[in-house]
Amino acid sequence: MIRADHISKTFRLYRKPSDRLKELILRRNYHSVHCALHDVSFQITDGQTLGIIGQNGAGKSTLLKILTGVLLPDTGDVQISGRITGLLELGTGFNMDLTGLDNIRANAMLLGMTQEQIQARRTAIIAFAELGSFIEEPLKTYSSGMVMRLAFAIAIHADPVCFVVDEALSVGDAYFQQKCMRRIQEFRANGGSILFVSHDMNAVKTLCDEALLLENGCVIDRGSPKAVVDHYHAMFLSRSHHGDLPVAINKPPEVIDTQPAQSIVVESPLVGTGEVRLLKLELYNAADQLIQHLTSEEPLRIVAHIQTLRDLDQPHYGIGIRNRLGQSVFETNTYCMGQHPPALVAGETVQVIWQFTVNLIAGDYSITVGVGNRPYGTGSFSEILFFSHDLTMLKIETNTTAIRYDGYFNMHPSVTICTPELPILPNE
Amino acid sequence: MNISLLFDFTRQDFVDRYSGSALGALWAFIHPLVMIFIFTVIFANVMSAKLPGGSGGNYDYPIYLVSGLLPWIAFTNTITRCSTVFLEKRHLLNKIRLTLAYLPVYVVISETVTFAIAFTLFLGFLAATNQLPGAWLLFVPLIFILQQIFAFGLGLLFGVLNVFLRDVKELVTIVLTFWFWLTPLVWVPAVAPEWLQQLQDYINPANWFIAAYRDIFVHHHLPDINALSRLVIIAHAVLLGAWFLLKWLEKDIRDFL
Repeated sequence: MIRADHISKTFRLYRKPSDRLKELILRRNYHSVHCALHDVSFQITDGQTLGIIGQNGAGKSTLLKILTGVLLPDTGDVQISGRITGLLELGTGFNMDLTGLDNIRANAMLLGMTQEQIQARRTAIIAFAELGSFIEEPLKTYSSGMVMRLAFAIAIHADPVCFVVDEALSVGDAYFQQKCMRRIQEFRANGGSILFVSHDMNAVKTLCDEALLLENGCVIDRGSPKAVVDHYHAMFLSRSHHGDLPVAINKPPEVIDTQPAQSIVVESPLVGTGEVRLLKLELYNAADQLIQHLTSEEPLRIVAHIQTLRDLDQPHYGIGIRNRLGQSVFETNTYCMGQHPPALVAGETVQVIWQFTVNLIAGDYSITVGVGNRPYGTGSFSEILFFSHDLTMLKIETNTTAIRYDGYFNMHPSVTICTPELPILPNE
Repeated sequence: MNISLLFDFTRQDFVDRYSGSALGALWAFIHPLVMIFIFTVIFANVMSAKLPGGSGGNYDYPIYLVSGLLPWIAFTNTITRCSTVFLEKRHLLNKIRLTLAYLPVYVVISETVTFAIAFTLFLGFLAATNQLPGAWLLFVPLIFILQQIFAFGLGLLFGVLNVFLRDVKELVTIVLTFWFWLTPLVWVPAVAPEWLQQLQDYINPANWFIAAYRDIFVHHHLPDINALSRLVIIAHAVLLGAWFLLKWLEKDIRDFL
């Protein structure tokens, strides 16, 4: 169990380190202040995974350093009921001139293991790293992936209460990454806590129980990974908005599983300027009935009633379908489809009608709607007027007449089996 | 306090120092052996250097030299290496929770081991030439511990300062060079001007322990307890001061590394 209470950390930036001494002696200020973390609190209980996301420089590394005890916080305190290890110590205490075996001993000792524990774990570490005879060779002969294997093997065998998973894991090859993930899941199943720091938002949504969004050292959002990741993406969208009115980010309420009304009015989208309103969003089946359930492979019509409160010279409309984990299964917009929707004047209302054949695998989906103005590039907009996820739910049921398959959607494969006229020789 | 980690650091220090060399740890014996050989054979037999006021024996001056130089080398090595240890090990401090004070402590242990090897060889030489000082020898560990506490204090102090001001490391080297020549290590107090001799008693703590070794090895009598008690006070005062400085600046040290 890990508990962080009101952690704040400011770095005093000096032009050179000696200014710190000058400051002590002359009692004058020679620094500027950078607030790296401000009042960060969280808790990870046993067996739980907490995801920490944020842009570069948001304070993720500083937070990790404080948790591992490498840096001391200005205020607040950290309670960890044991050891915290992870790949962020990749190569630490690793001496490139020593063999893998010697480094196991040295590194394990640095992590605080006793001689007896190291002896007991040695074989397991060697077996897990799968370095073969290289374990007897100096580390300077290793590839970075091999160093990572050794580092991971030691870190996970050091009996941590919390394991930090970060991008360093991606140094390993696909096979070893899989092996690491399995081991991490096992660790979690046995009551270990995991701190997951990644820019891979799909991984955050799939692996974490809770997520924390850091921005400029402050926790600006915390909650279910899906909601927090949406918030994070909304931050990007709002950053690419160049309109006159600033866009506001409205965190949606975290009730997803309750049945939403069949048609909805959204006045405060996830991202938006407030100049565009979604009056109604309706789903219809082939029989023109309002629906919330649909059988896979059947036609779907999505109707969005959109009202603009100002003139839009190049409006474009976007649609998206996301699965239960918040992963986008399909998204596009009129600009990407090469359409030129007519300009709108203030007060005008339009109906945007989308037609699909929903060949998705059975499951719960949600609809995303966006409205932008003045497109550029491959699909960006200078003005993001309306953007919201999870506007309505759509439950897709298995179509018993279709083929059985797994994955995301039915690609409608065809298959032919025939006998070759000439026998094909296996490759030499 | 994780004793096994400290010993592992020390062990690693020796492994690193001689890693890749064919003779390995044997070098830890070869260096002091050569030094003792040069001072005894060259000074005593080739140059026939005599110690003014000594007993007149051939080996008086070599023993005078070696009994001062061996502790001095341990003393200065401890200080210089401690003064850079935080920067040298920043790759560890940046990644792993580690008590800052461990690092200079392992330097002290490592230099103590080096001294012990050289000192054992020196004792072997004394035994071979039948000049062992007898029971006074028991004072040597006591003096050495005091000396290393003093060195640890100074090293810690410079080590902390060096994080903020890299010039400290260079300054330490220069100050130690001056200190070397101002302390009667290669010269004999009797040849120095009066003021320099007086200075030794009042403000040179290094001479307090150097003189104590000489009392034992050259003159075979009880060291000056008065000087040693002053050393006890100074050494602990410096260590305490350095400790508070470390605690006070710990957050900054970690931020700067």
